[in-house]
Amino acid sequence: MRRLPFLSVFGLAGLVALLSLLPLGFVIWVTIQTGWDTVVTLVFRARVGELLINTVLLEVWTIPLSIVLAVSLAWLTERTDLPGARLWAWLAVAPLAVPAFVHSYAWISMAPSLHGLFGGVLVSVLAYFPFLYLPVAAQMRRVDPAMEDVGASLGLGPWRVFFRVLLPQLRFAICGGSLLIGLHLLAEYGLFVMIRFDTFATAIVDQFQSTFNGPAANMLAGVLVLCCVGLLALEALIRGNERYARVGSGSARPITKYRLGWLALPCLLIPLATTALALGVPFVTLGRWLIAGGTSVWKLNEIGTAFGTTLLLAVAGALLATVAATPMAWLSVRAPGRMQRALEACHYYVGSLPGVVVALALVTITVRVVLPLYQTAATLLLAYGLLFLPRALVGLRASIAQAPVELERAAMALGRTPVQAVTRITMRLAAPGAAASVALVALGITNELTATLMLAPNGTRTLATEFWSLTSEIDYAAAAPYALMMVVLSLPLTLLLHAQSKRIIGR
Amino acid sequence: MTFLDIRGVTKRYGVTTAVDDVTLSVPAGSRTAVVGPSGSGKTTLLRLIGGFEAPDSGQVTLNGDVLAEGATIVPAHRRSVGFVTQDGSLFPHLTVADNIGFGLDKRSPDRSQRILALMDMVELDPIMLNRRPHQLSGGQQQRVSLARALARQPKLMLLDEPFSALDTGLRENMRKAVAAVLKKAGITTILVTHDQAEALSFADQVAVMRQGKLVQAGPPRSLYLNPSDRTTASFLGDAILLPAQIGNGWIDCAFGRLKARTAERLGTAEIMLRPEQLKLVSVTESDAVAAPDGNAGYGKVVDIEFGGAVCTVTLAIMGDHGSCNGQRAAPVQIKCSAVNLPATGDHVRIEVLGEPHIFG
Repeated sequence: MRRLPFLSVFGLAGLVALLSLLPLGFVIWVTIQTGWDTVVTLVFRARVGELLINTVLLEVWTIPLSIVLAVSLAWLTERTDLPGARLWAWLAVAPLAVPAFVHSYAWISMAPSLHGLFGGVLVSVLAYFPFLYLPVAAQMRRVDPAMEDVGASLGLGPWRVFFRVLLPQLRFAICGGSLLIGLHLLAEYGLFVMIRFDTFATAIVDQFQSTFNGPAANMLAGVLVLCCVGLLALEALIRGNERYARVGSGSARPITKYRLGWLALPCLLIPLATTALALGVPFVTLGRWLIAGGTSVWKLNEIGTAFGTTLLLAVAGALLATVAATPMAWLSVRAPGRMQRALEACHYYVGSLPGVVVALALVTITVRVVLPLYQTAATLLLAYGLLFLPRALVGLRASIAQAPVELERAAMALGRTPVQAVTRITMRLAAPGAAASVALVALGITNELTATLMLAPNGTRTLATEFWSLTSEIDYAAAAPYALMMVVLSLPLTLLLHAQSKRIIGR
Repeated sequence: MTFLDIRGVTKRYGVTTAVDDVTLSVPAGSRTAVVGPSGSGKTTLLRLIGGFEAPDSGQVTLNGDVLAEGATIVPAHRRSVGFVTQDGSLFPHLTVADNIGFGLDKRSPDRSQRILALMDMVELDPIMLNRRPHQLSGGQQQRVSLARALARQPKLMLLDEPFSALDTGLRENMRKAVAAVLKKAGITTILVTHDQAEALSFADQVAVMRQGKLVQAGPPRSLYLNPSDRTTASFLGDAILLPAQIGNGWIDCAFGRLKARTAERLGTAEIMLRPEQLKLVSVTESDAVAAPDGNAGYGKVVDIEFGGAVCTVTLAIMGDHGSCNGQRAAPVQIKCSAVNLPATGDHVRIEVLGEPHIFG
């Protein structure tokens, strides 16, 4: 009796895990199908080499620069008496509200000659550094300030305390944030197309649009998946499995802010310049296009349709992702073990795959196996569900963890069946958290471009795809209202992320 | 000889004055305990001495060198001051050896010998050398923390409640071990604690702080027996506070006429006795009512709380002595051993050992 509900939940979670394995299975299957000789000619060619070099250059420039920027900003806002530190902290997260391809749209309209590696690195750093800023700033608030006092009492000046005591303890935060940025760089399509910088993602979409579902695109996808795996492995290697948690009782005294004195003025230049580049440029550009376009760009009918479609897809996709993540989230909290870890790994890995790979896999599978599903909303929703599965899982797991198992047992003792106990007690208590994670996923879908472009049924217009087709026609003014709406829709997401990073450390 | 001299030091945070005009001298090689309830400013005082904060006014000198003169200070890393915190603050990313050697020159050839010598000094097994802080017990972490602070041969050691995170039994052992290590090394030490027993047993000099002010400083014994006010008296241990009439060389109180150093004072005053100064002798009821001995008090046992080694007896004071200025004395609680414990309802004679302390 006791085992039964667990077994059925394991079954459901296993089903979702199996679906998550589809893209990876597709890559392996296609490689086998193509045949070794063709694979060799398709993979070991100059074009792939070029793309690989581009990708590596992009990563090795963007990530270290983002680390330097994020750590300096986090230190200034969290550990010093920089004037307006709270405001700067907000402004350091706010660039996340602007989708990456809107960042590059802004830069391209401001400096049309911007292109290639330099342009790609510049816009990537500005669009993605908050992914590092958030965890690094949170960690800086957590590090026991007594540690720095001890460093000073052992004869270290402020600089050496920073490098020998504080920085090593940020390692996990820096690793995690860098991985996130690295994966985004691999997956991003819109940003690099606009800035005219070729990556695997842009090349795959190009191939897909010219030859549809040829082996060339599929093999590029295979290499891209290898890049993702390589990045994940590299991060695991650097991170190691050392425990860095704070030792001891943890009754920390509040952080003493470092007094900048006359240095405050030059230090202010860092957040000022960052804000000007990461927020000023997009908003000034948007404002300029909106003014230039006047009322004529607000084609309310079309914008309304796109908005409606986006909303519909976003909510449906978010619900799907959340429902799919529920069995796994429940198991992670209630039945941790080896099996649960394996299933959970399947749920998580799919989120690190680029949208272009997931889309390509679903296109091939629908065309070859279930043609009626090709170019339907169902396939698109499945792609959203897979891409945002980890995001839904993280939120759900935290909220289920808040409903203690004792309550379920109490309900069963009062005559409810296990399923009733879960649905009436646990799900009821987890509902607010689940709603938040639905919202998070929905906001993510709103700004999704690549998979939507490749999978959406003909005539489906979302904010992102409409923005994209207008900018492709160089009608920047008409694209501005769509960009503005995406930014406005993303603001709550940004607020939520900022609030969450504070709540995690209990403030 | 004064080694550390703190003169008129004040530190404010906004409207609250954390440390209020504190003056304290610490002799070379001595151990001073700063004790007070939480929020009394004792940790802030320690941080001012360590150079982690700058005072608003006042002066700190160490061995003749001015460390702080108002807000102008020598920063922490230029003072030769060791620092051990409540939970050790070991660097989680470094091994035990690297933690201990953190303040030592990386290129010095005898670095590993020094680390081993330090581990030996704090009685740590060399097996631990390559362990990580989270693999150590609380007591071991504090030993590493102490060794790390000793590595730079500081002139002054600051201990910020280093034993409070440990279990009761371990706490006492660690206190003795740390005191022994520091005494052997001849390092002047300041211990901050909220535990009065720890302060009294650890230090040569105890400084009591309350609401940012230094209330009283002196040898533990004299502080315990002659506290300056009733709050300090109760803070340092259980105290029996009684009203009394002062005579010439004696006082009258609920426990009869007691010999006391009255110092030419007359009139009424409040006195303090420590519970262990009182001794109970069983007497008959008629004896207790007659009260033949004017130099002792008589009472009736109204309640007994059995506590093993130490039991608490509550007594109602009898006879004339019980009242003072027309007020009947409140029942007193006396600690005594379980041997010869009277029963509830018994009558006792209360004898006082030593002299009572008269508050000024």
